[in-house]
Amino acid sequence: MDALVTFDAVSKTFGEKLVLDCFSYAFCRDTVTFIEGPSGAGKTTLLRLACGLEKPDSGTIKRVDGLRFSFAFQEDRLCENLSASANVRLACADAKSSVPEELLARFGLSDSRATAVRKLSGGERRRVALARALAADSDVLLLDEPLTGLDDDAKARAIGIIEEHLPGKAVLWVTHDKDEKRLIPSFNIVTL
Amino acid sequence: MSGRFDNILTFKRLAERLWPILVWVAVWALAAALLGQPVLLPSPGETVVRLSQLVVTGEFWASIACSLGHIALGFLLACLLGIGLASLSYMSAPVRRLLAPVVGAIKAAPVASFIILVLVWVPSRDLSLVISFLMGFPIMYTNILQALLATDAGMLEMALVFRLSTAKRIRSIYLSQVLPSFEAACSLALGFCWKAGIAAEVIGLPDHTIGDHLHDAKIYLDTPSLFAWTLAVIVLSIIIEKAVRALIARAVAYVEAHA
Repeated sequence: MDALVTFDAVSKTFGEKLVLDCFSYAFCRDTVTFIEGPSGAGKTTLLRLACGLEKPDSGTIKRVDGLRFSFAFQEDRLCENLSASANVRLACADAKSSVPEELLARFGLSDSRATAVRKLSGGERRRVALARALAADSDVLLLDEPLTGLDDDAKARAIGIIEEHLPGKAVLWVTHDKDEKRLIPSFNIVTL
Repeated sequence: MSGRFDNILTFKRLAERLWPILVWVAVWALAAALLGQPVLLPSPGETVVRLSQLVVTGEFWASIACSLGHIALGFLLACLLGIGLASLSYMSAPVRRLLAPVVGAIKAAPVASFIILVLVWVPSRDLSLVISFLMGFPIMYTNILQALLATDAGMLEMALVFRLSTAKRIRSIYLSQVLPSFEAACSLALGFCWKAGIAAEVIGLPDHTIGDHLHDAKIYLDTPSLFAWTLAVIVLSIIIEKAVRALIARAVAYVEAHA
């Protein structure tokens, strides 16, 4: 298997709290890995460590050179004053790409694509954040509870779209939802 | 029907903004009538008559242009340097620490000290430019720097993960963050620049300026002229502030549409 991000005996503490203790794992291309665990177990920290937003206290994280990440953060982290389309386009290297419009249409946001995201509902904002994560050219896709706030129909549709973008990527997917796993054909599980 | 309703709403809004002004003008008129001495307090009518006599003279417009040009240039320099140095300070803590005492000193020092000091260095015709710059710069610098320092760390992480170019970061994150503070700083700095710039002209007495005419009005006890020039300054200040706000609103709309 083509390991893109390899954790080797990684530990991470925040203050007094040990969040990751000697964690080792290789996240490989073409593999979906669900990250499970109770609140505060370090699921989000694991994603942040994987893409370099956090540094480990001990242990090493090896990343393949030139690795490109994409992240659907737990909070949407959208540019409030920009339109849905502009937010998705931010992540595209090609400014004239038609991918943002196509993705927004598939997420049922055609009518809202020119609307500033501050005016969108929670569910719409979530879908814009997901579309942005999928629009980016990436090798590693980090999904932190990506379907929170979506109704069942929107969830099923979103999983279908995400699934199309899985090939060629290592996917780290934090979830509490059993449905999300049921809809993905093959995956690994890391329990923290 | 909706057009008529809109007209009523517009009239109501106008009336809500006008009545306080009318009340104070009435108080002014009453006080002037009770005093009965235009040298101490000219009436609103006398002020408007004097202003109407002034506006038909070339000297009035030349003075307005000269004062406005110098003060606007000082304000513009304050904006440019304020934004530039605030950006540098945001990127570099040593620069921020280096500039802190200077900005603090400019903020705290009395404007009269600057006027006298600057008069030693520059010709009196450029005094209002330097003084309006000195008044506007710390406001602009502090507001922009605070806005930049308050940039959402989560958004900066997002920019890092998605490898956004510097241009994209500026347009999508920093501009949205800074523009509201810039608008507030402009509004505040414009008022200070006008007041301090004209005060500098009153002390430096450069020819063909508003300050020069205010000084003449004081020397000749021509209080109606003093009020007329002051009224002209207030009207100009309102017009300029509205124009700057409109410009910023257009800039915001442009950024939102083209980011």
